[in-house]
Amino acid sequence: MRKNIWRDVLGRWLALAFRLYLGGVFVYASVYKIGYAAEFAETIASYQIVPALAVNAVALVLPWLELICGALLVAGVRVRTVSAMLGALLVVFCLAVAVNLLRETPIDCGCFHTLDERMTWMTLVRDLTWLGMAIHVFFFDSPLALERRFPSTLKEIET
Amino acid sequence: MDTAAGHLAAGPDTGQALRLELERKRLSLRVLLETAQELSGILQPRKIMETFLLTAMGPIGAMGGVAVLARPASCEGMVLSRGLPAREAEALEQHLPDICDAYFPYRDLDGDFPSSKIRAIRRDQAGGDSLLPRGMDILLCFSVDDEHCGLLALGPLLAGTNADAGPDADLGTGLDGALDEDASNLLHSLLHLLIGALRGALAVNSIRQLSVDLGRKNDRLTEALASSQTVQRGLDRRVHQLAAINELAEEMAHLHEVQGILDSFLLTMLGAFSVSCGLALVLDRAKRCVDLAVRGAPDTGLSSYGTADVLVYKAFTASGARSVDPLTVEPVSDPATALAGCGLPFEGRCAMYFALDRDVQGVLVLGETLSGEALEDEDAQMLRAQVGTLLGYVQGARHLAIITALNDDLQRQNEELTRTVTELTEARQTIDLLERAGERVRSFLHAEGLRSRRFSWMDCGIILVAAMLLGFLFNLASPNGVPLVPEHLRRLPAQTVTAQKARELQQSEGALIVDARPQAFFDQQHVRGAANLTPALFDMMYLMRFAQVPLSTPLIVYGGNISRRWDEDVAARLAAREHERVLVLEDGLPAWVARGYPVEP
Amino acid sequence: MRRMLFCTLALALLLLAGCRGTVDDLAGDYESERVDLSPARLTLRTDGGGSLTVGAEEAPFRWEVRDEGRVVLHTRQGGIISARQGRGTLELDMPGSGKQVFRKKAK
Repeated sequence: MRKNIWRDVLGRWLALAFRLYLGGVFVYASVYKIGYAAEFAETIASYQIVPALAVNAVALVLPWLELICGALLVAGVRVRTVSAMLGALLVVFCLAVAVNLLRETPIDCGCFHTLDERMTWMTLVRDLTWLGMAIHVFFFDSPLALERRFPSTLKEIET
Repeated sequence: MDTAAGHLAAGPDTGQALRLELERKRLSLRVLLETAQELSGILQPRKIMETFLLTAMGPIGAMGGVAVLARPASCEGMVLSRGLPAREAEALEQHLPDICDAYFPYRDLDGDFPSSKIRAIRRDQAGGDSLLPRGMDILLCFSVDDEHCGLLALGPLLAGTNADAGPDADLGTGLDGALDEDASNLLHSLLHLLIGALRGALAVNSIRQLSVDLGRKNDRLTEALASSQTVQRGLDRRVHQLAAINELAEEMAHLHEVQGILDSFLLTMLGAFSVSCGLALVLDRAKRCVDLAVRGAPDTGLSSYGTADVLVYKAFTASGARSVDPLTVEPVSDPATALAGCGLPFEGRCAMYFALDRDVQGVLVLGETLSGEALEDEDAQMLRAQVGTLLGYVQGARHLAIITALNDDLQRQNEELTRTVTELTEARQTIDLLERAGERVRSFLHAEGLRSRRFSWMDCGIILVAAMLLGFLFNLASPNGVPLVPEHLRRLPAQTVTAQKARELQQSEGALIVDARPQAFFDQQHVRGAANLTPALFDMMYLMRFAQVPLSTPLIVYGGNISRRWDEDVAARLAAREHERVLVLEDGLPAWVARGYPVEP
Repeated sequence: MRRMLFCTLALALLLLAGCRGTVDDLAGDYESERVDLSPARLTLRTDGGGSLTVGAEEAPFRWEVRDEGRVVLHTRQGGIISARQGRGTLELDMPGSGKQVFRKKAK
């Protein structure tokens, strides 16, 4: 019995918390980038990974991808697909950060604003943490957490 | 006569006797004639009797006489006497009933009188012997008509003329023994005369009496006619009143308001009782309102509640009502003084106080009648009854008002109910709709829940495409949009210079080295003496720092990577600002560093 | 519920007023103090736009207040300059040339 409770707490409920947090983070991160696409493009260019032709396109699409995925994650729609996509994005981010850390490129993270804190290994750790959360959500998020709630509420209303 | 002739013929001295005889006859005939003449003009029985007694006594030779005319059926009549002392005559009159009893024994036998029959009665035959004075030996009873009988008593006789009277003289013919035959015949004849005269007189009298009676009855009839006419007039008036009241009832049955009822009631009452002016007032204490109807006089402000209240109160105190009972109608005694000073526009002659209940009271005041007479008691009673009817109608009107109000209320409630039902139906429909919507949402969520558990490549693609679409569209619309294709690809590449040549230019011609990379890279490491001028901040930085740089100064730009050719961009912009020699350092900073040229920091 | 709504509205209004206050304080014309560079005039408009004028030329930008006392200028090309607000001054952190103080001109 106690095991079940712990499993619930560590599985479903924790996944729900991660989901909401992660979604919020991505939505928040995307807003500034959408507003200042040119600055984000400069940031991407600073990473020196994306080829010149694609820099602006990535700078335009990536924030919207973050926004959509974050919003869907918060709403709890297609959680698995979205968390997988976010996980993939985070993997890319982690790689980019790691590469540039190894190159000792003196750049900001650019994760939220253009004038961010300087990128350090902590940035990588943070991204990895988020990646872990995404994976947790992918495996443990129960759609019941949200969807099961609605039918029960409806039943309550009906009675 | 025949017997007398027989007697005469039998006498010795026939001539003498005959002459005597004739003389007697002549005498008696003369007596008869005189008597008939005497009696002929007289109409009163008493006078007839008196005259007859006077006339008869002489020829008969009687010293006294009594004549009685009586109605045996009622024991009344008259007694006449002559030649009698006054005392005896008085006594005779007092003894009339006894005489009747004694001498008219068959008075009870109605209709059995032998007409004009004359009976001679012996004195000792009759029961009332002692009633008549002594000496009255000749007694003759006769009947005048069906009702009247008479008695004639004569005596005593003067001469002894009764010598011839023998025992053979029977009663049937000779009447009595006291008279001879001639005298007896004369007496009979006289009596017949008397009877005839009496009959005539009585008939005349009775005719006269009948005429008088007729006159009296006529008078009475006239009186009766007059009184019946009076009654007729009263009845006519009553009929008029009733008809008016009947019309009123019909009229008021269609009236539903107190004011209208009062108006028509007052009008009808004025007409029915012939009154010139009147006033009807109903006071509602609960609503504090007054309904007033005035006819034949100006309205003097009685419709105000205060004045009306005073009037009603005075009427109440002056009436016989002790308490305000429902449906009370009481006449107000002496209304002229009781209601004085209440603002009545005329002098009240008749007033009624009435109360429907504790709250609704009123007064009906009628002025002087058209004829100036006071109303009769019957009229007052009728008026009272009519006020009672009025009360009924007023109550009916009030009830109708209440019922109407209740009905309206009911109607309104009904409408509200209908509306509520409609609203409920609508709400029900809305609920149904919401339930259906909820059902759809639930099924959608259920499907979503199932889908959320699966990873779908298609979803990935959709999200990606959506992000691209949104991104590009937003970029198009945004004033801060960026070009999709890098700018340097659309230009001819700038002239390049090797690191060595650049070093030479720097030292010989004072060429200005420009670092086009972002500030962070510049801060990390840059060519010594280089200035930082990124394409992103080109306008501002150029204006502030490079505006004074001579256009002829060679400018060597470096800084670029796989993602962006900052050096090319800056070089293009500098060239656009008409700098004459803008060169791009080949391979950038790494080539400079590889050559061992100085860098900072 | 209604009370909460009211509180939220009041708070939002207060914040807005605060922002407007700083924006209004910041907006205006500034002049460069350094003499080794060209005399420049910095204009911050209240609608969030602004320009740097040197001589007859001017470079437009957008500006915003990010944290308390920190102003960020964005150029259209994606450049960014951080500035710090002083007493009637604006201290721009120019890349490669250090701080540059602009003093606000009295109106």
